[in-house]
Amino acid sequence: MMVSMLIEDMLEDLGCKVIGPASRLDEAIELANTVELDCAVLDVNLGGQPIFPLADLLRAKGAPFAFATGYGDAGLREADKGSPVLQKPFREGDLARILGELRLKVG
Amino acid sequence: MQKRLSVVNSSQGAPIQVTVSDTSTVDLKMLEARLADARAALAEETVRADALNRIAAAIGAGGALEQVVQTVVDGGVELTGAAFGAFFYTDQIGEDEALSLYTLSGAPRSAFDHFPMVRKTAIFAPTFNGEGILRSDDITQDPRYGHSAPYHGMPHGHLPVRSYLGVPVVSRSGKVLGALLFGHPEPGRFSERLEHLMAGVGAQAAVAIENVRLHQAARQEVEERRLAAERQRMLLNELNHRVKNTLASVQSIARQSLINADNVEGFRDAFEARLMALSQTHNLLTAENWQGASLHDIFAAELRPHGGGRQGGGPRFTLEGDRNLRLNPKAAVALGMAIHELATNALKYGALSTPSGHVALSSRLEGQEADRHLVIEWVESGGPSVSKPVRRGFGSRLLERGLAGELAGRVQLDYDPSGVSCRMELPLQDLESSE
Repeated sequence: MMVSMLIEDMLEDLGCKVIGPASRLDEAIELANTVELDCAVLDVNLGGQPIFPLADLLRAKGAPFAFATGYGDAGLREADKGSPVLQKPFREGDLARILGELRLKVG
Repeated sequence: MQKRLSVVNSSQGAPIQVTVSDTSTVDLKMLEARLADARAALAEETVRADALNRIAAAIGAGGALEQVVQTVVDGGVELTGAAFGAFFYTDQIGEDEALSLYTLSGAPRSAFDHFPMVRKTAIFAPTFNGEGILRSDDITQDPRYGHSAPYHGMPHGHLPVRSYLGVPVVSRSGKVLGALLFGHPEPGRFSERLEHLMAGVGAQAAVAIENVRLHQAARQEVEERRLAAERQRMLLNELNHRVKNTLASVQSIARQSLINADNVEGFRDAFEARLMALSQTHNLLTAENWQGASLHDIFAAELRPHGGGRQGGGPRFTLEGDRNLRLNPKAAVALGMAIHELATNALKYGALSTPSGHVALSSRLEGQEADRHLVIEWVESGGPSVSKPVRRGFGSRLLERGLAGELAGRVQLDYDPSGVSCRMELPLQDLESSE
């Protein structure tokens, strides 16, 4: 909760419009299916559930995303190893840099 | 007249030379017969020596238990000239001890389909008990034979056994590991000399079986250590994850406290108090290995700094609800923080800011099955008249958006003039501890 509020604040500071946050996988998948997203920041573990089904969905939709995790990329599947990773805790500047990378992907 | 005979024998296949000093009186036929006997005896000894060597080599080489025991039984059959041999191992079957078939030589396994177990009959008891070898030229003539129910002798379909040799396999500590049993359909096949040889084989088999078991035990221990190291690595990963998440939470708390503070002192007080609130919940979770924490304990821990009693309640608080409801770590941290924000607000502006104020905190379960949810109510009374704040602070944001979002519930904050109240409706499935 505290971490999602932090990311929300950082994103708003950086001039983003925040959709969400979703605290459950089904909620997140519904958001991804119903709302137009420029990019997404995914916590690897959402209330005990791995986030990977959402990662697959976003990849299929062509929506760029980054992972926020305490595990580093050790907690990621092989398929996700190339995705940008924000290692918690991170600074607003780190988030800005990652968002820049994601925007290039949308290009 | 004196006769002198010398026989030069060669096992390398060279001709046997016979020199006789007085050829006139030698019975050549008798000599030939003796020679044939000597050759046969030599061949038999060679076979035995080979069998013994193989047994010794198999035991020395170690390897799988089944393989070692099979070599011992095969070697035993060769050594004794038995028609069939088997190794039975001691087995505890309920109250009774029995010998179960382990490996077989000279007969198909199907020959034992109907009697894979040997019971402690009069014939088998000495072998079972490790008392010594039982050798019989004709087991059917043994006085102990045929007295035990239900078969009174060999069961129908049993391999025909007349010559019998039962060799106990006993460990150095005296434990009977099993028995080597050999049989032949003709009587008088096993000599006393064989009995002694087989006693040695039985002792070697015991050493072999113990070695294999020791080896297995050692391997198992290595595997257990590997698993323990793996578990430790996973625990460390999990701990690292938890620490990083907590650091990010602290970062969030610092940022929120900074945004909402009027001055440096205000920041410091708010930040420290929130840090303490988070730490309280962590203490409760740590006490239960991070499996969960009781809702009541979380309430009591957050109210204690504001005059709540050790077990909750106290003059300024009424605490009601199920004392046994346990929350998962995520819900525990979120609710601990929520109650802290409500208490802090009450202390600054609400019921806890005056000596006469009172807070009632209650929890109860409502709804059925999938709709089952926890209702938590915080109701302030007796404090100063309340008006809706102009600026939305961290507390109200945390409650109405943070908590509601995190626990997929509804949170309603009311600024009634008689006192602030907060009602939370949280689906139980997102709260419950998995343990």
